Amino acid sequence: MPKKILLVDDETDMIEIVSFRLKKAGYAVAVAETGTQALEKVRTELPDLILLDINLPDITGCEVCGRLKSDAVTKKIPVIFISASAENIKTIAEKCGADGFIIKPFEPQELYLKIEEHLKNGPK
Amino acid sequence: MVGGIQPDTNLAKNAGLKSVLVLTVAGERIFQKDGLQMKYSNNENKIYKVSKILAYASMLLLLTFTMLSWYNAKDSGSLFILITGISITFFLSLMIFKFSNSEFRVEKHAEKMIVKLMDINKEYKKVMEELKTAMEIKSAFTSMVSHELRTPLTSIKEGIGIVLDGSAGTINDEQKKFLELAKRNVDRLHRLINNVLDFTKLGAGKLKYNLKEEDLNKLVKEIVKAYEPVLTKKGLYIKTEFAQKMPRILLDADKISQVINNLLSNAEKFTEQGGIMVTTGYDSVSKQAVVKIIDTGHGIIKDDIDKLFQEFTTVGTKRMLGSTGLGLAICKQIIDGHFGKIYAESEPDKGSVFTFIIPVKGAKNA
Repeated sequence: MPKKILLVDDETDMIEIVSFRLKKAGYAVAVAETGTQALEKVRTELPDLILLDINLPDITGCEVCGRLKSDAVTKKIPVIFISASAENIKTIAEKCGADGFIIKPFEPQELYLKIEEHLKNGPK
Repeated sequence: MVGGIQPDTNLAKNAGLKSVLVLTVAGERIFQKDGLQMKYSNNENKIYKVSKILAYASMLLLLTFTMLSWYNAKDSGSLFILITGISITFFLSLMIFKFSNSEFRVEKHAEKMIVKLMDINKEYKKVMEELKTAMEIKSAFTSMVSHELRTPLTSIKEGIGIVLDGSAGTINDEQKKFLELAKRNVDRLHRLINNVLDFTKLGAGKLKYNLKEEDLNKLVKEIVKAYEPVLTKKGLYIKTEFAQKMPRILLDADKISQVINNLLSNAEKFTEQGGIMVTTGYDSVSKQAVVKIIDTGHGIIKDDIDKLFQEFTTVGTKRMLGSTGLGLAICKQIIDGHFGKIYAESEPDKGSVFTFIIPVKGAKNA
């Protein structure tokens, strides 16, 4: 059974590219383009890990993360923030309760490493 | 005479737009205009006042004396003395009057100057406010643009990457060559954006220094090690010389690494033959650590050395590919943030030495 990753990003190009990479690397991929969609998909897909863009059109990645982490069913799923802004990302990730973060643009190896690390260790 | 400018916002309400001159009992003058207050005292005038009184007293004495001598003798000799006395008194009074008058004019002039100064000060404050706003807008704009650029850049970079590494099927050498070219330039754009962002943050003073006591020798060693393959590939040597005794230095390891990386990358870029030598030193007297990056590269002409650390300048005859003109400006900002110094020495065709010095303790936020 391949590990399932939920990819949340409002940029369809990003979804296209990252999901291609993830599938090639042997993961199963589910996608969501908004925060609301992400919250629904988490319940239906029950992914092993979530890659979550911070800037989403409806509810922010921070809030999505907060809701996931306060829900007993979903709080054990590791959340990695994706952001184009390197500014204060560490603080933001900590504040929102995310398990990790990755800054755009990233090298594919960097992404795989981060995913593997969090799949192995689980949430904080 | 002028005591100094003392802005006082409370007085602004009372003063309104008109200038107000208040004379205090102590002979001090308080001057108010547009909410600014200026005080100046007439301390020097005390001496003048005493001498004025003394002059009047002696004139009176002289007049009394001459009048008395004329009254007693009533001859032509004493009359002459009386006339002389009156003339002298008259002459002296005239002098004193003229002097007071000129002093009065000097004061008037001084007041005018003060008003002018206050106007200039007000104008200066306004300009400073405008400048501050402009800088903030500039900073916000650059930051926004950089972020907006990052997102499409990620897609381009990854899109190229997927085809280039064969993930999407095999490609021929020709295709690979041009995709590599595209990737190289995307990477360059990425570096540029990062530099611009860094620089904006540094310029706005937003960058926080995460200071810890670090082993500078170890830090240098690690960076040099990472550079070894690149230099060996280019046929250049890399040597190191570390200070025997190096205390732990209070610094931001990430930022100092950025400086060393930048200097090494520059040295590599401009050196075709020979190699690079990196040394660390510690001056126990001034309690400063010294790092030198010495190359045998193109060197820099004297006129260009001064321009090196300014933003958006690249020196030399040809513009270097991939250079943003921000690298050394960022280095300078970082070293300044550590209360250190950075400078370059060079001779064309012989090589360059870039040195930075940081104090053991006493960096920003320390």
